Amino acid sequence: MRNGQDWLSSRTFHHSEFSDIQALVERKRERGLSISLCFPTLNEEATIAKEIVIVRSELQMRYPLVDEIVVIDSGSTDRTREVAAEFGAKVYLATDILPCIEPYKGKGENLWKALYVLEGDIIVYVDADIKNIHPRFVYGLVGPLLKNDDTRFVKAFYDRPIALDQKTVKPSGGGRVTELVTRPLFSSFYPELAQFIQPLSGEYAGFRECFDTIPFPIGYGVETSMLMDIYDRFGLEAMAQVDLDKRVHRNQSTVALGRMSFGIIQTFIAKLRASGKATMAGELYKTMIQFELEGGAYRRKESAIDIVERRPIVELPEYLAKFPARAGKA
Amino acid sequence: MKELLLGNVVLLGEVPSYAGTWQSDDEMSSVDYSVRARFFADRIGELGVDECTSDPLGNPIGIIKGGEPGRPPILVCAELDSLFNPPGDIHYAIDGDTIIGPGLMDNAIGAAAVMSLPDVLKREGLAFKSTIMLAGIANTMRDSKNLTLVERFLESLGTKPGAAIIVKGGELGRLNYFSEAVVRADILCERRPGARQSPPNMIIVANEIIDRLLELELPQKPETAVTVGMIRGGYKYGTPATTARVGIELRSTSNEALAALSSRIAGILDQVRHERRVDIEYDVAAALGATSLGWSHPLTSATAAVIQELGLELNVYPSVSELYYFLQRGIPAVTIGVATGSDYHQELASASLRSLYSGMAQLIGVMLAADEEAADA
Repeated sequence: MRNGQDWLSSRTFHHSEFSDIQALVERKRERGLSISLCFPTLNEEATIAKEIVIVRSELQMRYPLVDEIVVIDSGSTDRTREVAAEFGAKVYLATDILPCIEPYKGKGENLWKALYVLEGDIIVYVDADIKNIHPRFVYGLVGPLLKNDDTRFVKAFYDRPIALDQKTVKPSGGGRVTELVTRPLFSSFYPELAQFIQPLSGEYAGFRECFDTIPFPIGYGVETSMLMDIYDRFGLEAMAQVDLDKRVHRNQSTVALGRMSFGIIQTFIAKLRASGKATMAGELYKTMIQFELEGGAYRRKESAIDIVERRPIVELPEYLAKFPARAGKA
Repeated sequence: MKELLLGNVVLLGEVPSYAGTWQSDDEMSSVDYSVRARFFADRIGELGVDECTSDPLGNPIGIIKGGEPGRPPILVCAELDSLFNPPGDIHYAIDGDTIIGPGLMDNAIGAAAVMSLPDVLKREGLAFKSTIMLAGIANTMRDSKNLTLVERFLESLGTKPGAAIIVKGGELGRLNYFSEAVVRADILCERRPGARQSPPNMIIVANEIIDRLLELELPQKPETAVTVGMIRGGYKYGTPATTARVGIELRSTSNEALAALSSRIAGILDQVRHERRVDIEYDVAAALGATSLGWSHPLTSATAAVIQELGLELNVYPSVSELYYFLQRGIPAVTIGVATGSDYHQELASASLRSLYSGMAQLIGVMLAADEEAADA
């Protein structure tokens, strides 16, 4: 494996290495950069207020590290958008962004559309379901980007206790899809990327060009696809990972994780084919088949998971009209 | 500004607070609280106090220098401990106008209000004639066994404050300027070693003591009461308990009435000790006296005025906590609350955010009033 242990040791950081936030603010000023934080949401009223409060108080009002906080919502039916706006975030409904193009629903769609509304040179994506939000989730991610000129993309990893209910936290058990699906796939086809401790983590940051020059699957698989594309385009040396310690989040059922795995596998194979690393005689089936036990009998449940991919947003005329400096960067 | 305050409540409240255990014979042996004390110290330093120090017990103290150095300082303090400590990590949540989390009202929100002062005062451009001392006092909880540490904290202060504001989580509108006489004590019943006719079960002995306490005729004036608050004993279903412990609290509006009650309880314990041939210890965890700053004291009246000017309902009642130690030392002091909340000692303790913003305004108003008036008294 190329760059084996060297990359792991030289490009793996701990958030505490970047806890001097004032130094990061100064570095940001020196380099003339701006930073946008994006929370993609779907029914996150239980956690979004606290996430915004912590970032606003610590990383905007106390230390002006983050220039804007933006919530891109997939169409929450709870008070997510109202709460987020009340606590000072810019809030967008994904369908209201670029209304001239056909809308899709999914986290990848939110992340992709966010690029159109976010103004920053550095973009930080943080999932909105974190119960133990702390400023380190942001400064830990932007630290390597600000301090190391050659780092363009940073991915988070952490301990992943899962909250089973209000009182019970299981100390391990997160990352099942990583260990059973993504890492085996990466080990087989992209061994360099198998060094990412948590390739599916929802927290990452990078310079705008890392995101606007790559395609985005609209649903499951966006994180996997992103790593492969950034690796292909910028190389492993431009990538880093940071340990954010513990992240507490909601648990997901095995059935839900099964659908997620299906989406990741579909995305992965599509990218393999596109890159020429694999060929297939026919097309993949797009339906995940699962079974539920109901009234003592198994009932077949089918989930159609179509892999739709947004082309790099830098190819979109509307995007170039807003960010003319990005012209010709595709 | 509200984000700064809320951020501090969340960040401080999620730092674990431990207050030692009931079984601990040496209250100084527990140092677990230091994590929150250290956080408080780091934070007030970062938020811009002029000096940050700690007393010999490790209680953090931030100094904001006043314009007239000759004036006695104003002490603003809050206990750092939370009586309710859940197993595992602590996570707070914000839901609309409500903040939720264990230990919130007792006393993360009060401590966070004090911790936020350097930042809030600076942003509001507020300066004081008196030097302001911001203190977090750790290990004050657990049935007030360690209220003695408040006394030690006050002993360690180099300069006697001209006024003190004790900040509690709740309730907003609260004003304590006088204290009741209180004794909190543990009655420990133990089988006497080698005694041939000692009763086999200390829970039964403890029960007999409780029965006798309940038979006491207590005066309605001065108002006097006994509360049996805790009981513990035994270790196995089928084995008679060799020890039992009863935690009681005696309260009275009169020091003399409380002394008389204590004497009667000592008599009861003597009687049971001899009749049942058991060892009985009476361990006083905290003894507070009845004392008062007085309604007409400028600090009292200024605090009442601030509360009423903010449109809050003034709620005056006696303190049964650390206020006594301040007043006993001749330090004019009041206790106020900064938020309206519920379920103080539950997992889902909660507080209204709007009330906290009023509470913060109230705290600053009382500080300004103390700076203008009370310190001159």
